[in-house]
Amino acid sequence: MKSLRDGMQVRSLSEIPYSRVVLVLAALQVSVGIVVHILWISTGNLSLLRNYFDYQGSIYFIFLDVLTLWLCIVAWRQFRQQGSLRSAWFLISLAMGSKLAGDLLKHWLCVDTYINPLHYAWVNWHSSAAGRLNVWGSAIAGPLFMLILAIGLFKGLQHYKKIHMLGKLRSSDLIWVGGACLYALYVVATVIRVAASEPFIIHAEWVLTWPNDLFLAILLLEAILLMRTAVDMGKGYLARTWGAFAIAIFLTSLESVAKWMLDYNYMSRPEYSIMWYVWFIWAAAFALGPAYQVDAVRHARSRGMSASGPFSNPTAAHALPRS
Amino acid sequence: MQSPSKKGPLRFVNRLRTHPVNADLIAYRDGELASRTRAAVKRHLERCERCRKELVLIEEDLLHFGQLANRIEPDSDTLMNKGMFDLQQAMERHDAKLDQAPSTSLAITPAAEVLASVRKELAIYLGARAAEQFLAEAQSRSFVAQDLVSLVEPLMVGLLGNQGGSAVAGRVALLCKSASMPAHHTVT
Repeated sequence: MKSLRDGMQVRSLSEIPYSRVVLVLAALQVSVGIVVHILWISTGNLSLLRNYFDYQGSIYFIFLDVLTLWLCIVAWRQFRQQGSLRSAWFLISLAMGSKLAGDLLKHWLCVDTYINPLHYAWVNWHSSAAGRLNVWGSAIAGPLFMLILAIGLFKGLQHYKKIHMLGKLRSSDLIWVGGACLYALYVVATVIRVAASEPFIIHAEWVLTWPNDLFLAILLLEAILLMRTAVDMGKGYLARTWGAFAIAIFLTSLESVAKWMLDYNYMSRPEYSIMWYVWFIWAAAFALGPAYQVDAVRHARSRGMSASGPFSNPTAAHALPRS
Repeated sequence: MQSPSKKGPLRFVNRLRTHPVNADLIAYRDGELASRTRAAVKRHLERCERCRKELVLIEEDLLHFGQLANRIEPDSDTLMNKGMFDLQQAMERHDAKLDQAPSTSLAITPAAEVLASVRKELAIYLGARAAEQFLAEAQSRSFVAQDLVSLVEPLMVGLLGNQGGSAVAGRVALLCKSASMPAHHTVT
């Protein structure tokens, strides 16, 4: 079978697959990051690293968020009737909108940079508002994003089950599923215990961040199913779409585990610093999902036969010889 | 029968002592053949007027479909209905043209070749195993070409959306038609 690269022949700049754009951007971002990281280790100059994350990193995240949201909306608008992936893509678009809003707060408005408008408008913004903006950003791009995404992916999985293409879990997957469930229960128990014992005033944005790991556990379950579905399907555009989402969720879990190891001194801070770059790949993986979906539609249309029509329209069947 | 790119150019060249089937011509037109196979088809086209005419017909078909699709606005029912009407008219004209010129249509290709082409087409979007599974299920029931398109269309519309799904279904319809698969040709 021909690979996707062979299948998608690029004839002009406007025909460049979105997935390729995302991959190139991520590769550039990580490559520059590796160079900066090596310079930081060899020279000890922290300002270079800080500028890389505060400026280039922020722009990268926000640009990819905007691109992801746009691609999701394009993918969603392709569907016009019920019984399709329409509702799934609508919810995924909402989730990506939430991620963009959160990242704007986290990576732009609460960072002390010259590209932050608050830096010019409000002298003491950093001491008074930055912390809360960061927490709100984490809540919106964290649990809220995860919740909506989990529902969207669930709708997608439901559709694949309906058309008998949902992957089957293997016995080894049950270990991961069991682990994710146990972790979710542990998180719920910890939150309840902390909330009951701590006599401090509880802020709304803190409460919003509590279910972070619970939703992550749910997403992990979905990611395992998505990955199985993608592997069982083979290397098509749609398999890659759902595979990209699964990889993004696995990377989120990886970072979560690394954070836990750091907190409990199983990992040193320099070792953990490698995880900073995982976020760039994570953001790219989320962008690749809708990118492959939109590329699939573009590819289908570019193959010469494109006839928009209602469900079960006579267009295609008419092309056959009549009996 | 497998696609020429998988069978290797030598066997394909032997086949070209007769004529390439339309699925091969479409693959040639789309630049999907391996370089040596492509060269073999090119050489054949240089000396075979019948195949050149067939290629021109295919080009006209694809161009026409492409133009119609560009005229259809995704959110405009009026334009869509007009586009549908135009498309239907064009298909009828095309059918009539083919009926009048039977000499340009090539030999009937075995249904297995059509299935291989359809499998290859679906694999681009679904993945090879999913395409295989879908067609195996379809094959398990005895079906005719029209059934194949009517099975592919809702599946792909559900997965890719209206435009993408219809485009893939149209492509499958063309592959069936290009192989001159009779509407009641049973594939078991």
